[in-house]
Amino acid sequence: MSARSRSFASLVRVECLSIVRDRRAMFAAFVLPLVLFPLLFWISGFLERSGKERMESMVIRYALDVRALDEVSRTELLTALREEGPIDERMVDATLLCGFDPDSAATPSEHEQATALLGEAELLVSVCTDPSQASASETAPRVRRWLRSTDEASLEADRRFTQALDKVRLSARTRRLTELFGTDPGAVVLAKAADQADPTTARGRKFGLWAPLILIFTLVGSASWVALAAFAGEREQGTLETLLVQPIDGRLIAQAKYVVVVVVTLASLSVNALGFLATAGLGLISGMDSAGSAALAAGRVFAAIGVYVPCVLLVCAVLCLITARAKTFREGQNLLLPIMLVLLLPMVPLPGRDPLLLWSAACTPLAGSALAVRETLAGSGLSWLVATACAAQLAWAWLFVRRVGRLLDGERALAAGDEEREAAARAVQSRRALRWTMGAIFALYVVGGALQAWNLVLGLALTLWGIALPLALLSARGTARRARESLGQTLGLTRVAPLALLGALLLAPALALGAGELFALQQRILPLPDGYNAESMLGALLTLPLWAKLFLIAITPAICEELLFRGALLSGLRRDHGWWRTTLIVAVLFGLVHASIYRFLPTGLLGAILAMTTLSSRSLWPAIALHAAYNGLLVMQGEGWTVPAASAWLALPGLALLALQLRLVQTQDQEHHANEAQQRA
Amino acid sequence: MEATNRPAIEAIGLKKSYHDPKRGRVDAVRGINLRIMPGEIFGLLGQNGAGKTSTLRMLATILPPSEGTARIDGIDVVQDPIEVRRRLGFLSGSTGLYPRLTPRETLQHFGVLHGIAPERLAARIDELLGVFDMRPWADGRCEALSTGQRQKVSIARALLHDPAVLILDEPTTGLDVLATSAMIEFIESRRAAGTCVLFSTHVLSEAERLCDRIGIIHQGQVLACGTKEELRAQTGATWLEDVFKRIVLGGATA
Amino acid sequence: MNIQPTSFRVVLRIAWMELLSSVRDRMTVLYAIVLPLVLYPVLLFVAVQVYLLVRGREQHTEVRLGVMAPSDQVQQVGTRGSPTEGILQAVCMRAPDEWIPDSTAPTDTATNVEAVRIVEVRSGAREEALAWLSQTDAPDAVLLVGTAPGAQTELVYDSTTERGDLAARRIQPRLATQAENLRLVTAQRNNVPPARMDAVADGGRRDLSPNESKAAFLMSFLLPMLLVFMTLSGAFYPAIDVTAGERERGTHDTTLLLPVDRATVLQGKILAVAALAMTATLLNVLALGLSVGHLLTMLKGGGASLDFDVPWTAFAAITPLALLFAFFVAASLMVFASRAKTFKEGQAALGPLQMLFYLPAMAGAMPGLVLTKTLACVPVLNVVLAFRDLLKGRWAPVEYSLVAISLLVFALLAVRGATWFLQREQEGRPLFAFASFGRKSA
Repeated sequence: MSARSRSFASLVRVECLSIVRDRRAMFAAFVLPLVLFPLLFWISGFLERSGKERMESMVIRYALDVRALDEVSRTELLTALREEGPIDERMVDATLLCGFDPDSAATPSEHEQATALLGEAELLVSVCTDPSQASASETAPRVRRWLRSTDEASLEADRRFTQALDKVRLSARTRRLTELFGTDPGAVVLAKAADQADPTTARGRKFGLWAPLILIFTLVGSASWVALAAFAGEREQGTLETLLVQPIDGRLIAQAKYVVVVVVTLASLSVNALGFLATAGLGLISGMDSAGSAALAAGRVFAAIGVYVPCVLLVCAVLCLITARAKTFREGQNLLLPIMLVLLLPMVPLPGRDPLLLWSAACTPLAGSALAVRETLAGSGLSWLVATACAAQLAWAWLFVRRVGRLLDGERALAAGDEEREAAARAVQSRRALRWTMGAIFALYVVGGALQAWNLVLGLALTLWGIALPLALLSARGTARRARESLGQTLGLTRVAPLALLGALLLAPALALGAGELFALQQRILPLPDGYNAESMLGALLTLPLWAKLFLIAITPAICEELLFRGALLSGLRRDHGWWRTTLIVAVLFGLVHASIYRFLPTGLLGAILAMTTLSSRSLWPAIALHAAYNGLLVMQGEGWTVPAASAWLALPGLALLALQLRLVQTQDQEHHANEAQQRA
Repeated sequence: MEATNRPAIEAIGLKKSYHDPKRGRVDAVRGINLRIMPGEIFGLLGQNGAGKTSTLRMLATILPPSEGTARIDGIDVVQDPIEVRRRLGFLSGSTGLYPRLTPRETLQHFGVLHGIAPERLAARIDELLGVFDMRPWADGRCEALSTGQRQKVSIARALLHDPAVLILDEPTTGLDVLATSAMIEFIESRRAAGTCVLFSTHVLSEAERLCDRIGIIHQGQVLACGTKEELRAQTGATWLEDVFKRIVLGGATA
Repeated sequence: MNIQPTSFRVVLRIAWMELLSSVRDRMTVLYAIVLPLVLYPVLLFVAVQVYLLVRGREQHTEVRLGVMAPSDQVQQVGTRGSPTEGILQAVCMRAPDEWIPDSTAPTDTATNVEAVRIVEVRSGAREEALAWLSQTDAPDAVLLVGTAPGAQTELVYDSTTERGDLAARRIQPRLATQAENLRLVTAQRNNVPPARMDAVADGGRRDLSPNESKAAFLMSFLLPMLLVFMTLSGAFYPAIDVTAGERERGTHDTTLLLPVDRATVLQGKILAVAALAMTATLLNVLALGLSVGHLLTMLKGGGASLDFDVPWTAFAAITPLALLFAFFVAASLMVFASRAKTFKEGQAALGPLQMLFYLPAMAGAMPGLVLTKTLACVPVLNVVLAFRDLLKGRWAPVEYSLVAISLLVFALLAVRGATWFLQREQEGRPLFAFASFGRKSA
C-alpha cells in the first residue's frame, strides 16, 4: 500500500472511530429506528382498530318518518339498517319538513324544525311524497336526511344509513325493472370493472407515494449529523489546524471525510429500512400480511435503496459543502433547515404520467431519484426510465462530489479571510432590498388578495397604490440614504434620453404579440383547468369603461410595479450583483408576485426584459413606458382590436435604439472615470 | 557545507492581507524578513493583533502569503508545501485532540499521515510514550485527560516525525503554572536536540529565558530583531519590558 | 421553590434580558416568528397551484380506449343501430361518425376537455383483451363488448397505472349515465312514468351544524398536531440558546455572578423561553386563521358556494390552553437544556425529547380518541385532544379544566426539576460528560 492510500485509510479509520465511539449518536441513529418503527406502527394500528371498533359498536339513534314508503321497502330499510350496526330508532312525524323545497337553500325555519325533530338523535330521516306532482303513483317518495356534520356519531349515522338506503334502492329497482320490462334495459351498457391490478404493485405504488419523502428525511437527518461532526466538529475541536499541517493533500482529507459520511448514511438508511421491514414482518403494517408479500416487499425496498444511492451521494456532497463553511456546530445547524426544505420539494409525487413530465423529472436532480424509487417499489425497476434516472443522478452527484475536494482550503477553513462573510458584508444593500421585496410580495399576496376578494376593482387599485407604491418608496429610501443620493436617483426617475424611451416603446407590439404566442404554447404543456380562464378571474374588471380599464390595468401597474421591482429592488441589487444575476432575481420575484403558476413564465420574461431596459438606459421611465404600452395593448386586444403582426418588426429598431443608448451610457461612464482618475493624479 | 549555513527558516518580504467584514481590508502582515538558523530558539514578541499568528501560519504553510516568499530548510512554502510540512512541527494554543481517540491511536494516525513506515512508527511511538511518561494513560480516551496530559500528547504529536523545525504559536497561553513550566523546559530541551524553534508569545519572561534571538513585531512588521544584548544596547533599557515599550512606541529601527 | 414578590420582579427582569438577546438570534427569529407567519400562506398557495396544475393536466389528458368484440361483431361496432352505438357514443361524448378510429385525424387536446378516443377495434375475447393491455402500444383501457344481448360489457384496465385509473374514472360514470338514459327511454317507450322504476329517491342531506363549526371540524384533524409542532419548534432553539448558547458564548458566568439566586435566574430563562414559545403559538394560530380565511374569501369570491366561516370563537377558545401548553413546553425543554454545556450537547439532549412530544401529538390526531378525565391528565396528549374537542365545539368544562390544571402542574414540576438539576450541578455531580476541548477544563 502506498503512503497515500495508507493515509487515506487512517483518515477514514479515525473518522469512523470518532463516530462509532459516540454512544449517544450511535443509539439515536441505529438502535432507535429499530425500536421506534414497530412501536409507532403498533400504536397507530391499535388506535385505528380501537377507533373503528368503537365506531362500529356505537348505538346510533335515528329519528325516522318512513310512512310514505311502501311496506316492502320499509321493512327492507329497517332490516338493512339493523345489519349495519346497533340502532335505536324512534318514529317521528316530520310531515312539516316535507313542505320545504329540497332543491333550494335551507331556510332558518326549516333548520329550526329539523333541529327540534332531530333532538337527541344522530340522524333525522323523512320520506316525503312530492305534493307538486299530479298523482302519487307518478313519483317516487323522496328520502331526506338531516345531520350534524361536526358530530362524529352523526357522520357515522349518515354513513350507515346511506349504505342501507343504497341496498334498498338497488333491490327495489331490480325488482321493479324486472316487473315492468322483464330485464334491466341499462344492463347491456353497464361495464363491469375488471381491474387487472396486481395487488403487490398497487401496494408498492401506494407506498411509493410517500416513501421518497421519508427517505429524504432520514437521509438528511443522518447525513447532517455525520457531516457536522466531520467538518464543523473538526473545527470546533481545534484539530483542523493540526490536520492541515500534515504533509498530505488537503483534498485527501476532504475525500476521506466524504466517504465516511456516505458510508454511515447508507448504514443508517439500511437500518431504517430494516426497521420498517421488521415491522412489516411482525404484521404490524396493514396491507402487508402474507410472508410472501413481505419477502417481495423486502426485495423491492432494498432495491429502492440501491436505486437511491446516487441521491445519497449527491445529498452527502451538498451537506459536506455546507457544513464545511460553518465555524461551529451551531452555525452548521442554522444552514440545514432551508436545505431540508429545498431537498424535500423534488420528492413530492408527480401528477400524471405523461412522458414529458416523466423524462424531465428523471433528469432533474433529486426528483429523478424519487422517480426511480417509486418505479422500483411498484415493480418496474428494470426499465430505461429508471436507468436513465440513475445515470442522470450520478452525473449530478459527480458535479458536487468534485467540489468536495476543495473544501478544506486552509485560508477558508480558518477564521481569518472568510470570503463568504466578506461577500455577505458587501452585499448588505442587496440583502436589504431583497428582504423588503419579499415582505412586499407577502403583503401583496395576503393583504392584496383579501382586498381583491372583497372588491376586485377597488382592491386592485388599493393593492398597487396603497401597498406596492409605499413599500417601494420605503425600500428605496434606505438604499438612497446609504448611497447618498436622492430618492429619485435611486429609483431611476432621472432625466431620460429620448432614444431609450422610444426604443422601449417600440418593443411593446412585439411583446404583446409574443405574449399571446407564449400563452398558447404554455397551454399545450400546462393547460388551465376548465373554468379558470382569464374571463372568470377578471370578472368585474371587464365591465369597466375603457378609460378606467386602461388606468387600472395599464397605467397603475406600470407605475407601481416598476417602482417596486425595477426601481427599489433593482437599484438595491445592482450595487452588489452583475447584470445577469440582477435581471434573474428581479424576473423571478416579479413572476412570483403574480401568484399564479400559469402567469409565472410570461410575467417573468416581461420582468427580465423590463429589467434589462432599466439597466441599459439607467432610468426607470422606459420601463414604465414599455409596461404601460404592453398592458395597454393587451387591454385593447381584449376590446377586440388586433395588433397587426407586422408591427412586431418594430422591435428591431427598438432594440437597436436601446443598444445605442447603452453604448452612450458606457462611453459616458468611461469618460467620467477617466476624468476622476485625472483629477486624483 | 551550504547546509550548515542555510537558514532553517527564512522569510523575505512576507505580506498578508485579507478582508474583514467589519473593518474592510486588513493588512495583517506588512513585510516581514526573518533569518533563523538551525538550532536557534527564536521568539516573536508582540501584542495581540500584531500579526504573529498570521506570520507563523504562513511559515507553517497553512495560509498562503499575499506577497513575498518563505522558505523552510530551503524549500519554498508556496511551491512545495507538502515537503515543508514533512520537516515542520507545528503546535498552537488552540490545537485540540480528537476526544474519542486514545493518545496512542492519535499518535498512530498522525504517524501514518506523515508517511512514517509502520515498523518504524511503532518503535517511535513507544519511544515517545516513554520520553513523555505517557504509558499509564496512553490507552484511555483523550477527552478524559487533564490539561497537562493533553499538552504532552500534542507535543508528542508534533515531534513524531522528528522535525528539524518547530513552530509554536503562543504555546503557553491558557496553561497553569506547572504546565507552563513543563512547556518551557521542553523548548529548552530542543536546543540540545538541535531543532530550530520559532515561537510567538506576549509573555516577556519566557522570551527572556528561552530565546537566543528575539524579534519584536508590531502592526505587521518586525521593528527590531536580535539578541537580548543587542536590543538592550539599541534601546538603552535594561528590562525587556522597557525595551519592548521603547521599540513599539518609539518607532521602527531595524 | 418559593417565589417571593421581590424575586419575581428579578425573574421578570432576567426574562426580559434573555428575550432581548434571543430576539437578536437569527434562528429564534426564524423559527418563532417568520416561520409561523409565512408557512401557512405559502403552503396554501402551493397547494392551490399544484391542485390547479394537476387538474388542468388531467382534464386535458386524452384517454385512449381500445374496443374488443367477438369476431362476428367487429364490423358492426359503432355503426348506427348496433347495440354498441349507444355505449361508444356515451363514452366518447361525440357523434358516431367522429369516433370511429382514424389514425390520420388530428386530436385537438387544447380544446377537448376530458376526452376519450377510440384507438382501435379488434376482435377477440377476454384473453385477447388482457394480452392487448400488456403490449407496448397498449390503450389505457379495453372495452370488451359482449356477444349475445344481455351479456355483460367489461371494462378491462389496470388501476395501478395512472392512465388506467383515469380511464376507469372517466368512463364508468359515462356508462352509468348511459344506462340510466336507456332505462328512461325504455320507460317512455312503454308509457311507464320513470318514477315507477324506483321505490324511493334520494333527496339529499342537510347539515344542521353552524357554518363556523364546519370549518373548525375540518381543522380539528390537523390543527392540534400542527400547533404542537409549531410551539415546539418555536421553543426549541431559544431553550438551547438561552442555556447552552450562553455557556458557549461565555456570558453564562456573568449572569451567575449577579447577586441573584441561581434558581431565580433559571426561572427567568424559562419565562423568556415560554414567552417566545407563546409568541410562536399565537402567530401560528393567527397565521392559520388568516390563511384559511383568505382562502375561503378567495373561493367565495370566485363564485363557489361554500358554507364555511372562519371559526374565530373556536380559535379564541383554544388560545388560553395553547398559551399554557407553551409554558409547559418551555419548562420541559429547559429541564434538559439547562444541563448542556455546548450547543451540540443541548441539541443531542433535546432532540430525542422532541419525540416524546411528537408521538402523542400524532396519536391525538387519530380518530376515535376522546378526551376523558383520565386522558386529561396525560401531558401533550391531553392538549391535542382538548384542541380537537374545542374546535369541534364540544362543551366539557371539567375535562378542559383538568387539562389546564395538569399542564400547570407538570410545568411547575418541570421548573422544580430544572432547579434541582442545577443544584446537583452546583454540587459538582455531572450528568453529561461532554467536556469541551479547549485548554480550560471545568
